[in-house]
Amino acid sequence: MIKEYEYIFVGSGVAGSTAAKRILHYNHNTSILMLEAGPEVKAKDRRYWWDYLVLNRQPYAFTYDQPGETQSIGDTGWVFDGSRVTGYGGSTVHWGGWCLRYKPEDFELFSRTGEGGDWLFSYDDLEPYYVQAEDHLSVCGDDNENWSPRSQPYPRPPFEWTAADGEMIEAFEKHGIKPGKMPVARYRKCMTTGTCKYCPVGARFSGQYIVDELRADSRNVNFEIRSESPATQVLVGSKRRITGVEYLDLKTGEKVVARANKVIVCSGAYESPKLLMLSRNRHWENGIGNEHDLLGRYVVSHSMLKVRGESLRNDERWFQEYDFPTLMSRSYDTPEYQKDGKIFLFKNRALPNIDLAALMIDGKSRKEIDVILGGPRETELQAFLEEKGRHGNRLTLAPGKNRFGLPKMKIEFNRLPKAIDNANKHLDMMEGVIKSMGYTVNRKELQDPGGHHTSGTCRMGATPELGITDGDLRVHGTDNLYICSNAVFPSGSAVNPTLTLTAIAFRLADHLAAP
Amino acid sequence: MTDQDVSNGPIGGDFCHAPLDPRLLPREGQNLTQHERDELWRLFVEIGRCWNNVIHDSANLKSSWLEFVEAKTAQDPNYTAEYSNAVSVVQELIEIYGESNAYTLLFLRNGIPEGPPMTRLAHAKRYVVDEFIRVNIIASGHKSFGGRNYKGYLGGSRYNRLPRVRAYEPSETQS
Repeated sequence: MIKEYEYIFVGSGVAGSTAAKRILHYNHNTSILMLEAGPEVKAKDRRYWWDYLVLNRQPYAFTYDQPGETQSIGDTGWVFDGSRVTGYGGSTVHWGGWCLRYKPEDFELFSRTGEGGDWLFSYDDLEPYYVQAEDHLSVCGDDNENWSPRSQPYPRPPFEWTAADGEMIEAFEKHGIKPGKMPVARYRKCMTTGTCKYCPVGARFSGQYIVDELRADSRNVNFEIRSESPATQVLVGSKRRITGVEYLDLKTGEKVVARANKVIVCSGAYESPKLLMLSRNRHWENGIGNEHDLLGRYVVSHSMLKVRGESLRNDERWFQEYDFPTLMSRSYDTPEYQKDGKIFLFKNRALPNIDLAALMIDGKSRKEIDVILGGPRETELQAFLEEKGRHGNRLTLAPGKNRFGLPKMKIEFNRLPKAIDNANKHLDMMEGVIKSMGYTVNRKELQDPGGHHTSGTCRMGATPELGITDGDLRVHGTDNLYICSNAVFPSGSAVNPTLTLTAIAFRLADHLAAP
Repeated sequence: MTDQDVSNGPIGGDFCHAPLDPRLLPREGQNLTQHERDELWRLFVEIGRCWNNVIHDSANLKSSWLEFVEAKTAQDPNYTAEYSNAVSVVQELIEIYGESNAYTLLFLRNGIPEGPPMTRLAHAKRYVVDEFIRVNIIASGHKSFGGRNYKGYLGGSRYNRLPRVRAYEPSETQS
């Protein structure tokens, strides 16, 4: 028997879980089927946590993309490994929790620079939803920062700078760079264990917890989730009318059809366009929403800039105490840098560091370790580089499926010389900061883009010729198919996308279900 | 004990040198005895004594260690056989070198070649001593080296109103 629902969500990450929670908040009786391609990763498990600490064994690493499942075919490599979790709760299972708002100019990228795309709503339109998102993720931040306009204070106070941040703070000030405190999502009791990518007490927000809560809430009588159930196509009754989703039950090997009044694809910037590409039918020969060959195009992410320096002395005997950064700056994330590409600066959280246990395991005596602690030490200034989505940079399907039943993919990313020039200009500035701290620079690099912050592959646009979705995130040419993902972002900004994704999930839920 | 008292090769006797598959020893139905638990705690205490970095009567330290051992012996991959092996290895080292030297040799001058653990001695070092050292540092051993927090240290309380790390304090000359 084919089951029918009000909504089918494809994906259980922060976007899907947030929107579903909000819709159920408005009406607990709403029938929702949530499909998740990946498996469940045990959370808050003490054995997993000890093995993570002692053996550096990440409980979710088995869900990462494997060689052969992805290909990078442009002139610039695309880093897939470790960039996403395919599993219940999505990539917030392994994220660091950095929660930064985009800035008003990010929503007007094309108008201001002639490149990339404009959003179909403004920062001011989204601001109330940023407030909700920060509350939902329990963001700890500095109310005095003034990086972006705010109508409400942060829900939690910030994590203070560490002593080891001090010398970089002072160097920032010499260079006219305003230091800031990194806003991070700390959901519940943070015990500052510094194991933020596998929290033993559930303090760091994870989409897992939201889905768990939705399942456990006895009022949500019509909420279902099925993990290990990759969607294989979106089904249509007519060109405009979406009727449901076909998915593969990996546990039984059977294909299953589920019907729904609305389908919301929340599968991230890789799987969302892939699912629409797979959904070919007599109405949509190239995939749903793809009449103008835009699916998968404009793919963009962040590349990391790194400048590392060494000092001969470590008189303060510093080593890493948090596993998240506390010092950052958005002084180069401003309108004047947008044309060439902004950067978001932050201190490498892991430096200076001495692995005390490794020295002991290596048989170093206390006396020897005390000498090693006295120096040398390293520090590193890092940045995310903003690049613009370009038509020729694209994600396409590759033959075959991965181990979760999802189609393999290729990404072609070619970098313009002016982007490299811009990166080098910023690297020179960052080198100046490190040198003014009295360190000798021993590493200075622009890395290939990492897939962590991928966006643009189903970008919104005012018309079908300009984008896949409209401003309500509905796929052009359909009545009831929506995309809630970084995929719809027409610009990547210089900062992490998850807070903005959470905000648009709230906005979409209100659009669909608010009374 | 001087360097001349031990050969250049691995320390220990026939039991320590007995060859083993490098993979984790399979548990064969056994559970840790109270004697073995006591000897393992002693091994953990000796780690702190060797590096002079913990207060062993700290309830927090012992509860962390107990929880670690419980997690390692209650769930797969199960470490019970490795822990029993380590107790026997230490026993032979004590018989050969005496109590005051056995632990120091095991921690600092064991002569175990690099690579996969191919003997009972190497198993004890890799699967037990090395992991206990990490627990030592996580569970408060980092503090004596100057830190206030460490990856894995459960040191905070609700939210973050008190800094749990060495915090930045601007110099007086700054505005």
